[in-house]
Amino acid sequence: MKLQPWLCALTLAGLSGQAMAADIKFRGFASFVGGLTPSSSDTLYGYDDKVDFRNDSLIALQADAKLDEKLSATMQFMARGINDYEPVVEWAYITYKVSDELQLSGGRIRIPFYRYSDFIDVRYTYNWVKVPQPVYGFEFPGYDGLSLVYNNEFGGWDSMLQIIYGQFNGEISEMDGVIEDLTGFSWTLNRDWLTLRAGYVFSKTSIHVEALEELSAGVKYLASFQGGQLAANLNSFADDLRPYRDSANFGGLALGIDHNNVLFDAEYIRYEVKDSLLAETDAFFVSLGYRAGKWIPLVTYSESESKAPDYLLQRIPVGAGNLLLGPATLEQVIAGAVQATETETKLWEVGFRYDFHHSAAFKMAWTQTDDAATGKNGLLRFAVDLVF
Amino acid sequence: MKILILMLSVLFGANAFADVVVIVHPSNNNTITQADLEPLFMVKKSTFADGSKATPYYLVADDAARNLFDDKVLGKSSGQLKAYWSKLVFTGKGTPPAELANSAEAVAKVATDPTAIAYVSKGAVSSAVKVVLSLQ
Repeated sequence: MKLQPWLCALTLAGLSGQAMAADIKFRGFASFVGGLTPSSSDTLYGYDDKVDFRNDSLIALQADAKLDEKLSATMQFMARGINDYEPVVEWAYITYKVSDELQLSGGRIRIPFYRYSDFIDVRYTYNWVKVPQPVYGFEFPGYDGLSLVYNNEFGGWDSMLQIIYGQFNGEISEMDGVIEDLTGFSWTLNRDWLTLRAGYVFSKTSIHVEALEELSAGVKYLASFQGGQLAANLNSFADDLRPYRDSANFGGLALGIDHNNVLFDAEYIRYEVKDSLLAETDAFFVSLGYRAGKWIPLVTYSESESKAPDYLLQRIPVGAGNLLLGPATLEQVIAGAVQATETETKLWEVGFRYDFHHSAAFKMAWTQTDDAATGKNGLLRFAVDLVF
Repeated sequence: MKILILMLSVLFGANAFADVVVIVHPSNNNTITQADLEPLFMVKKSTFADGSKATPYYLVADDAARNLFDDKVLGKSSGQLKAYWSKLVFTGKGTPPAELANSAEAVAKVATDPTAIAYVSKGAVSSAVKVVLSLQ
């Protein structure tokens, strides 16, 4: 008799263990990418004239645990060639499905900056080897917080609205960054062959940019020799130079057409970090392809332009412009730093996708860039993308 | 030669499509029209007209009935459908229906699951399931 509760507990544990195991699904995706530039004078996206197979290669495994119809937990491990395939958890969240239309997720989720942000690494889902870098060069891992997704249908349109709130503390383009009060939305509308998307994200952003920290410290050093109002003005100006708890925003618009086998995609984005020596950036791409059975030839043009934050020159405190900061005046130093943020990149790309399997594609692309700072560079890449 | 292959594929395709039927459990009394299929199989709706739960099943990607259903009803190639679900699965925004190995397995599944709905090749149908639509 005394054994019965034990037996019950064991049986229950066994049953629930089985049920749990049955409800965990593993899925994943992988890309194997090789590339090289045409000559030793060309370098682009980490490639040179010796063939490289690890820059863009990756493999990811996702575990989805479904507790019941409404509750699930998801974890995605990503191993990138560039990081010696060391697995990193890029997504980790639990989801509560309120209804067919509404779901709420909490955890580490990717910020939906762009149309392709969320599935940027699932390259099987698009036709490029990689998304156009002038637009998509700005990307970093997920935020920690909440995501609300609302799906509905009206008048023949499928609508998906995502609202996010959270924070980020980690690396942004290999610099330490903190993003607070990250708030945003992404709205995608789809009807037959037409897809429209708009997104907007804003936050309070701090990024540790070594050169700007040094410049800011230099101006504070100047202030230490001044008195009264000028010292205060210089200290406040020093804070204006570095991106520290500054208001940042990112907006994007996208259009997709898939009609009679003609594929047209365009996206425009714009972002800025106010009150800092980071440039306001505008970028767009347009892409035209044609689906001929399993083959899709594709041509893409993309451009990115960063405007120098000239307004900072107007903010140099009165009477401080001629103070010497090292060998030059403060005004000269700031003018040089402002000018240095200005960049312009143009990109042309021709390539194709070939679906050799229902879950795998072979791609090849020739990329030509023209950058104000680094000149003209070419790159040939080929890839095998798959989902499993 | 090319024309012959094209003609054969058209003939074969047309015949095979006429042989794809949509089945549910015999206890399911909902009227199902062709317009109901896309929302159910794209998991935009998870209930039948009477409000009861609907569980759609796919066949595996290289099944002929699957290819025809994807093309004619969902308006996508199997590859496009794979891309569609990949976008949702890897971003936590949706889960595709389970895939069954073949029509016989789908018939067996639907026979035991009152919430199930599946498409199968007509030849596999038994009296244990109810045919609600024959696709034209």
